[in-house]
Amino acid sequence: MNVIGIRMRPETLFYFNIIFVVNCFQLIIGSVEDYNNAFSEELLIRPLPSGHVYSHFEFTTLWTNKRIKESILNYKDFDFVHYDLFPRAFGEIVERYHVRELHLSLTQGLWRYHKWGYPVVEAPPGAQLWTWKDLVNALSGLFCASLNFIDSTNTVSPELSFRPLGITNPSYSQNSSLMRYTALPRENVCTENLTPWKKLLPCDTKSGLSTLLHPTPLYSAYYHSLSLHMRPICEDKDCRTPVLELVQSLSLVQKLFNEMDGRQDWTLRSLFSAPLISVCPLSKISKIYVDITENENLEIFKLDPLPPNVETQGEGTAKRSLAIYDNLMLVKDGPFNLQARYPNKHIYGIIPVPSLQVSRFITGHGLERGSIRSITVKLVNSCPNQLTVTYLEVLPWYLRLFFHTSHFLLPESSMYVSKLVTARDRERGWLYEVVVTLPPHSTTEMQLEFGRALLKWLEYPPDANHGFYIPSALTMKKLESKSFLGMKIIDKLKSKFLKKKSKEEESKEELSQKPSEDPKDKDKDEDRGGGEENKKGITLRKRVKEVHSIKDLAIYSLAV
Amino acid sequence: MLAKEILFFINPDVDLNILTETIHAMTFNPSANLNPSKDLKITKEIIQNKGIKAMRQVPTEPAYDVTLTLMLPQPHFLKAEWDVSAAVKDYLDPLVDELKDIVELRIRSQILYMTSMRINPKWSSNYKHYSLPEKQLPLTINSIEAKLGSFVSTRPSLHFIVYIPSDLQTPLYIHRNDGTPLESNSFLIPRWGGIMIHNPPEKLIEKKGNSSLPLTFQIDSQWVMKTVIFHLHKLFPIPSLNEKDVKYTEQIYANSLTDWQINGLARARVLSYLNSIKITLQSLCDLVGEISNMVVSDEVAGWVWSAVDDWKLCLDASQEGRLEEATAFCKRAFVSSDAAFFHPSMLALLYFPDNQKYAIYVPLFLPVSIPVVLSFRTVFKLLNFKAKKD
Amino acid sequence: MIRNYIIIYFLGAMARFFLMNSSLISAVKNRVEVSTPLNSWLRVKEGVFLHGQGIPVYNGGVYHGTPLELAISELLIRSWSNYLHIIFIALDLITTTFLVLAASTYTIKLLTVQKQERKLYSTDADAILLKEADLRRGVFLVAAAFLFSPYSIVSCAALTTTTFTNLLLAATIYAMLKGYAFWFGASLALVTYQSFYPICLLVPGILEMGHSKKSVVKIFTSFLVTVYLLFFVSSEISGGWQFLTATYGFILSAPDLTPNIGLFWYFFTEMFEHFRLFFLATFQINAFVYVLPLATKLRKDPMLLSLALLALTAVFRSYPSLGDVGFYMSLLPVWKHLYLYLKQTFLVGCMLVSTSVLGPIMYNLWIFNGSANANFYFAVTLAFNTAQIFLVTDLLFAHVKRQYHLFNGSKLEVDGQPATLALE
Repeated sequence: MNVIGIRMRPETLFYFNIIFVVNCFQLIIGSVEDYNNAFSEELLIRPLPSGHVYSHFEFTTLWTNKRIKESILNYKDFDFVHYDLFPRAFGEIVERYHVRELHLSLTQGLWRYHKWGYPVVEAPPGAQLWTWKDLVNALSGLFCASLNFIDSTNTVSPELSFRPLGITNPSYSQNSSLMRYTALPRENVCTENLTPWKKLLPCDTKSGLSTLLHPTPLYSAYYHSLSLHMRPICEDKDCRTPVLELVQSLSLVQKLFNEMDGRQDWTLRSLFSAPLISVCPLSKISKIYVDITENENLEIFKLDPLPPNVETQGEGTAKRSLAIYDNLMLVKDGPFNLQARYPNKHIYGIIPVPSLQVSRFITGHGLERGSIRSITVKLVNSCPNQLTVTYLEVLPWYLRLFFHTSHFLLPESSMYVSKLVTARDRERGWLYEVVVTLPPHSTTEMQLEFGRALLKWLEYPPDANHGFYIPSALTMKKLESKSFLGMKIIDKLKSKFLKKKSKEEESKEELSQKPSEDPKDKDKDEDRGGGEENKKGITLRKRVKEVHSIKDLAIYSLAV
Repeated sequence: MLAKEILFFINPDVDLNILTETIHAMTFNPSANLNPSKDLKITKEIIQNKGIKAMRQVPTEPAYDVTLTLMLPQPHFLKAEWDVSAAVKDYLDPLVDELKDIVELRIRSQILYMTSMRINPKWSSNYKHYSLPEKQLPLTINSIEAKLGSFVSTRPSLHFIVYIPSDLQTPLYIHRNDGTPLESNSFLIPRWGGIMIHNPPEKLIEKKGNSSLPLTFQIDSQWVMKTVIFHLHKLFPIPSLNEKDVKYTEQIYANSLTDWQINGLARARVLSYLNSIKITLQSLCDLVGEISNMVVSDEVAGWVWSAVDDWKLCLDASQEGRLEEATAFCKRAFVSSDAAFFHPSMLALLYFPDNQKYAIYVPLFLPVSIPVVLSFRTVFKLLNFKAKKD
Repeated sequence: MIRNYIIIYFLGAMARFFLMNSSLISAVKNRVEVSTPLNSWLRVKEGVFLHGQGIPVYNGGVYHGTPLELAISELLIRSWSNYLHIIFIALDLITTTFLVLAASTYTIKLLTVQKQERKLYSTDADAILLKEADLRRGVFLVAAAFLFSPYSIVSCAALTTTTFTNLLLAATIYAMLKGYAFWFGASLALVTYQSFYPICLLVPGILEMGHSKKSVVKIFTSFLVTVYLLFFVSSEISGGWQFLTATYGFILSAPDLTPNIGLFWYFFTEMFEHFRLFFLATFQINAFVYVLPLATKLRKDPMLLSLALLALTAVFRSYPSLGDVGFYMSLLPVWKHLYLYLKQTFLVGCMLVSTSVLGPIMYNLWIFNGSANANFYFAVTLAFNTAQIFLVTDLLFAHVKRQYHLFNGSKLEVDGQPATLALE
């Protein structure tokens, strides 16, 4: 699964003029550019109640200098000249295609989510499409992925889903026309994507946490997600030091049961087939976190070595405890192999369901067109509050959707269509975005009927025996209170290292003052630096993306 | 910028041979700026005489990406500090500005950590340093090339690498084949760029045992940038007098370029442009001739026409000595001829050979044509019948 | 007689009503044979829905009906949704009435012609002369054929917009036979606007009323004025001219390759992209290329010409449906007197019956069971279309034969030798 989000900026004469002026200004001031580079590497390990182990690597590169500050604050194109920790191969793409924010993820397995960016200025559509196409091709080259299959038929600009996560000009926050979203459900993720991704890290795979990333355990995992997120952010509240943030992350869900004894034991070696032997010398922070919520006394499993530091945050159901290891101290005494030992066998119990669950499946049979088949979506809200979510479908043109048949088994007033783009054969795909209000403790079902177009012989995808894949639907929810916090984010801890508050968040605050039916602010799957804001009494939005159990649907081809 | 007339002051006592040689070198120095393998007579001669130099120069294009790369294989041991932007401003920007009418240079810099060149230096007890034999040099860039490039730029790149040797190779010096160290400690890679080996100050290495890591030192900007400029001169090449005798002395880069140098470069590049555009258009012609039903879109045709027109203008201008105009025309012609040549529709593979078309359509048309043929039989029968009746 | 009509009207309406309300309808209404992208009620509803949501209908690829059709359907769905079934049945009954009126006008004409030409006929042509009672029976059979033809019942029960088209077509033919030049022009404009191909009926219309220049002028004037008005109103309703590419552009370029009973879909799924335009032109011209030769031959019988043209366009149009087939087939009893000369009734009958049965089976095997492929279904539709072509050529040939017999006697002798007439 691939996703790219981006915001494009148009090239105008006016633009160049401004840049020129800026250059003159710099000459007069004539100071040495103030470099600011930082790199951090982190790993969160969380044993899951299902017996799986979830590990999440995050490599963050921050970069700022005068030019970048200028670009971020004035909403101008980035213009990088002297690269340090930030990878040049990627920076060139950002610069060349006027990218403001970009999110890309390559995922294999269920459980996927994607974050997004927003556009700033209107641009002529034809030229823009080409720019987009070239960008996509450049990214294909960079990541060895078949992103070149992205074209106008699967690229959309949703209205509400995917808001910019970085600093945006508030006046453009309503404008989605320059944001692009696309998904390629067929894409296989493999070593060939991992290698170039690792190359973007300042330490490559020579040292640090990235040395743990060996292909074999990675690609035999149940779930595997490789991603890259670039956005402009602020280090402080007043946004005096805007920085460019590049987060490269990798998530894994593995199951390591020793079949014989049935214990959930894991070690770094068993997870990644190697212990940690070094830290990246360029990183300011290099840490491993282990989620020990419900195991604060280390009774369920024991950690070896014992955590030097445990941090607990939140209360009630949102309470989270993390054991923190500083790699720098640990690798000094040779290879560091963190181990967790369970005294008892794993017991499969009832796992508490997340507050929002979404599942999607195809009903009907055969390859018939017409109304026989439908996509049925089940939205289960198991929390005591009413939830308002945005539901987004991006479908290929060769499904012919019949929206008049789509219905929620609910009173009509609880849903409204925020954006609907009808497909045109071989030219563009479907975009269906609705806002649904889900009553507490309820299951909402939605049906979308569709027919199938017969394709020309050349339009069938390769490997026809696979059938067609259609992209996942996306459900986005902005969560209001902490009690919904489904997942502990390591960035929480990182807030010491970095306090981020983006202008964009402020613009969201403003939006939220509007009447409640305004669903304009949605999705943010991670909340960064939240604690700081709470103290200041600002209403903080915990934006946590719920785990989606949205299945990729395979539709089998009409065999001609 | 580009002067049309050059005034010589000649000492009457001068040796005429030396004078011709010098004037020839100053005004017309095409040696390096012709691509090899071209069918022009003059090129062949030049390649015979000065083959190596001709191979060294970068392909003639309107713009280049110049990338300065600082390679730090062990950032935890040695950390180099380098104010690149100041160095670029002080040394490279004046050169870029001087050349802007002839060629566009886009300067970028980057730092590569944890990446080392795959070299195998030996300890030289004579000189008390590690020696890198000349024969190893050609292999050095292979291992790092993949990390240097850009995925978007279509312009040719010139790479200049400042290499800080790793712990176990410091200090490192390049040795000639005869075993003597190379003073410049840098080398040029034809058509690609240059590599400089920058050793940390000796004092720093001496105290490596007793100070905290990483050791930090300043990059010698002056040395690096002068070498870069020298390499750039050689790569284009910018004409100079008595190349052999020019050492890495101040004179070549301390002063700005002289008019005759810029003129010489421009002249050589115009010649090279004229040649390469001609070849591009010729191969396009051959391609279209080869595939009879290739569709040449109006867009491509437009580019070809404008390339031909500009080429002609460039030729006229260069014959009349209007170098500045000639350069501008040639650049335009080059861009349009390239655009035409690399247009996606001009791909031979897009076209089916005729026999395949028949193979595909015969099964379709044959059943249709059978009744038609049969009806001819009937017509004949009818005609015969009528003829008989008459 | 009237009583008989009332009975068959009632039975026809009941058949439709019964099918509409039975559980069978869900199996029938979205059959590819009945509902094409152009006439499917599902798409009409979708178009109305999108229009109601303020989404530009003609910008997308779902709805390809005309803006006026959209407006009328919107009215029907909004205000009359409870009576939809009744309305569609009523439309079919009105169509029947127009057909009956047209047929009886035509028979009167046939008789008049016969009276005029009687003297020229051969002496032994008495046996094959038309009799009024026979013809009246034929008219009755037209009504029965339309009301009970499974093709038209299914088409009406599936609420396809072919029902509208058929009504307009019947009205056009009636106006043509009656010699109402103005109404003919107007209704022809309407039906052309609705489904494009009937424009070829302009030729029989002119032949029918060509004796006076005034009516020809009238036809053209009313046709052009109506077309202009319709386009003007449409662009006002749909807010621009985008509907032209979405409707006529769609009909002409046939981008939707969903299987149907026509010939386009199969060819164009397998076509090389750079030959596409050429074959599109060839296929579309095919629908019109027969107009001129047939008009030359049948200039004295524009009604038969209309039937031939309707049948040919029903075969060669880009999105044909059973409704089109049912319409022209129900007119066949008018030429009851030609049945005698039909040579391939058995063959054509068998082909029609077997393909009508086999089509859905092959389709099911292909789409649902996965045990057949597109070739099977296409073979069936090809046979179905061949049968239709056989039927039309046979009928035309029968007409030629009868004319021959009328003028030359029923004995076929060439130079004293018994001879046969053959179509070569």
